[in-house]
Amino acid sequence: MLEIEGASAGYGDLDILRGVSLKIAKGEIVGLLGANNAGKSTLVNCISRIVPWRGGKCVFEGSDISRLHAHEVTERGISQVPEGRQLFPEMTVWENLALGAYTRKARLERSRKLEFVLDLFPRLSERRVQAAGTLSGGEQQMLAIGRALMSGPKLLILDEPSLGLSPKFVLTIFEALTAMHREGLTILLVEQNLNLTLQNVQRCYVLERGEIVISGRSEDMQDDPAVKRAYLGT
Amino acid sequence: MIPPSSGLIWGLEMEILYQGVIQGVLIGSTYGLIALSMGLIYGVSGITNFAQGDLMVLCMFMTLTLSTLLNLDPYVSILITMPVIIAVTAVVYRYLIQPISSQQLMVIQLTLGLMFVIQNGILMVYGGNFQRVPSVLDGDVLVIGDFAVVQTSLLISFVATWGLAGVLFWTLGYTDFGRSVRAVHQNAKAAALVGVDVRRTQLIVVSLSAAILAVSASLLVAGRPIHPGEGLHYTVVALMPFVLGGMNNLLSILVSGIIIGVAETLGNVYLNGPLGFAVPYAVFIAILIFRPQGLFGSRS
Amino acid sequence: MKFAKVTKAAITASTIVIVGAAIMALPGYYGGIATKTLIYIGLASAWNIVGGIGGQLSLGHSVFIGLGALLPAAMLLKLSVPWWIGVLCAAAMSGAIGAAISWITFRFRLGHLYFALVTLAIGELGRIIVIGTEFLGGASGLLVQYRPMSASGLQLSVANQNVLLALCFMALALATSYAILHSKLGYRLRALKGNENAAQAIGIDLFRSKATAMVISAVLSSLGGSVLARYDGFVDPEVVASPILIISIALFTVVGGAGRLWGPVLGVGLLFPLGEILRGNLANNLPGLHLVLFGVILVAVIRLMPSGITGWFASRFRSACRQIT
Repeated sequence: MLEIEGASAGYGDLDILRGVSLKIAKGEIVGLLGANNAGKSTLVNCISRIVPWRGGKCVFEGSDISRLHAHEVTERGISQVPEGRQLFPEMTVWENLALGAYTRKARLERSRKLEFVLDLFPRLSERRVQAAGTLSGGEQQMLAIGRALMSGPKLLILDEPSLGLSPKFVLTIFEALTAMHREGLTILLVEQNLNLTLQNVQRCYVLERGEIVISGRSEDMQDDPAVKRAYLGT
Repeated sequence: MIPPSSGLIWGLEMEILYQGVIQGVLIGSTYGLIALSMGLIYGVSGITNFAQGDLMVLCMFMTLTLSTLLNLDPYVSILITMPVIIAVTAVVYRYLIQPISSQQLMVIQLTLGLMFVIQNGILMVYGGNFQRVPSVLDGDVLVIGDFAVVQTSLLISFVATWGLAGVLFWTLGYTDFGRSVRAVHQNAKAAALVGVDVRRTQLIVVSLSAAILAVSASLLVAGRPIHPGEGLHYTVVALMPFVLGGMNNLLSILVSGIIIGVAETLGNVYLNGPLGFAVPYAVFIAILIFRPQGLFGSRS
Repeated sequence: MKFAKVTKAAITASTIVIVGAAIMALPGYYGGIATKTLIYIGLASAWNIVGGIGGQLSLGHSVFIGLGALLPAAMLLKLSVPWWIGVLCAAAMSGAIGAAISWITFRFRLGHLYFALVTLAIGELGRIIVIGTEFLGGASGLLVQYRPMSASGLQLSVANQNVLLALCFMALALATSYAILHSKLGYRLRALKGNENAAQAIGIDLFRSKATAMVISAVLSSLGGSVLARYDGFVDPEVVASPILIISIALFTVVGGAGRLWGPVLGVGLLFPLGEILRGNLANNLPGLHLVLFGVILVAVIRLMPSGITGWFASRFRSACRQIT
């Protein structure tokens, strides 16, 4: 479904990604692990075209998306839950969700999607008219995921959804992810949390200093000492 | 001891005051409208056009030409000035400003350069004399209650301003387009991620702001002389409510416009000569000194 | 090292003398334009201290120039106070106003745009106050006849004494800019321009640095205003106290290269005489054409050479050096 080959990117003189290749098949849930500054966020922002590619190929459902604008990537069916949630803080929960279904196609199904998201996160429906900025961290993360789902994506990318959340909320969010995956959604999960990710994904890539150093099925990786070594950067 | 006639004088004084305040509210609404056009652009792209006043003066002179050539009333010529100014502004924004819009300082300098081009371009075409654009409402007055006499044109500006503002606020608050504008304002990156074409939204908002300028020009042109060199003056008159209103809170910008308008008329009522015109500026600076966060803002 | 310094000073001094002599030798019309160019270079250098080196786009400097132009003239004309006392009074007042502006704008810390907006409003307020103040000549301005100066038997014609004053002012403004660029204040200002928060974190006092730059720049601008008024004889408040004046000076500097010593010299040196000559020749047929051209040049420079002409050459020079080595 998504195929990245030899991708590179960076800012100014700084190279952040060097020849990254990655594949996600339809219906998979894939993890992307790595320490801070490994280039994980840059990679997903390149896919979403918030950051420009410097080289390589990025093919989604058979067509090259590396030269599209950010909004066109969303229209094609890739939705990102950005790091730090990036909500519209002064808008209500409802308005944030409505904006999630901004693309022309998504607008037609807005009310149906809304129902789906509020079913998934019932807490949000209690907070419908509250400003997003006043929600708790966990609720904001739910809203961010809900907003991304509103566009009816084929591929959902989550950038560190567990960051700064209490264990209880982390559990809720990963349960929701598993549920969505079971319904057929393809998911790319970017995380720092090693064990949590390996338990929840089918396959996993480890990114280190802008390069993929290890990849494989998560059952195999769970006991692989090389993963921990690469991950800890020792 | 109170002299017998003091009641009468007191009444007269109050009438002058009321008259001044009403006049100020009416004219200030239009100032607020020009400021609103600045606030809209600032909200979605973080920049300010220092040639905004000159663009409006350009519209005013277009109404002059339309009036002499086709005998059109300024209120009717909006239909022509608006598309023209939208086209000019959109081209300038798209090709000159948007590519450098992340560098605020350069944008300011560039729009100051545009100010010279527009202002002196008008001067070259129309010459340096004051001119008047005739309107059907010239000299028309309305009596409100039993004391206030206002020019009909001012009353029309007031109604038009608030009508336009109402439509604008409704659009921003309750439509998909409006939500996308606010989304770009609050978090441009997230807006792009949900599928908003940020650059296109900015361009549309800039065009919208140009449309507002065309309307303000026609509202102001009735009954006042126009001059090519007045652009900077209008820019400053608009930037005061823009700053006082916190630069992106549109309703506070409109209300601040009224404050500046009232300060101007009262200054002219109670101070003789040109010093009366200094009052709004003094009020502006005083408010900045005592309320640095703007009139309606809270310290963040 | 010491020798190099002495040579540098000697070269600078002889350049100044040669420029002065050359201008005095020019025929009246062009001599006048050259004199004014010197004054504008000085004014642009003064503005550059805040606007370029300090990175704060001040559009309110017209207040200082206007004060420097009008106050000494008014005091001489109406109170018979010697010119130079008026000049000092205006400079002191400008310094105080500059400090006040720094204080007002410092309280918000909202960046470039805010500073430009607020100083522009202050500049416009200054213009209106001048026009409304009878003592300063009101809207009609002041006309003063200056007598030729004579010192120790040396007589100078009015035109030549203006050249001398203009030269002295320009030299003072350039020397001050040079000193600031090579001082701790210059270093602090550059650090603040780069990143205010980081600069504060390493202990730079934001307000003191900015206010110092503003006061120095204000005093210099006021002196420049006085010299300009003395040259013109007739002081028109709509010229000397209008924000348009400082906006053009700021934009001259931007074209030359803001924040650099030679930026104002190059920007004014290229554009001002060109504008004056165009204006002189076209005023009757196409008034304003020179300013349209100026605006177009400015827009082109900003889009094509974002750091001004001097900055463009500096980076060309650097990349050429890199290619050679």
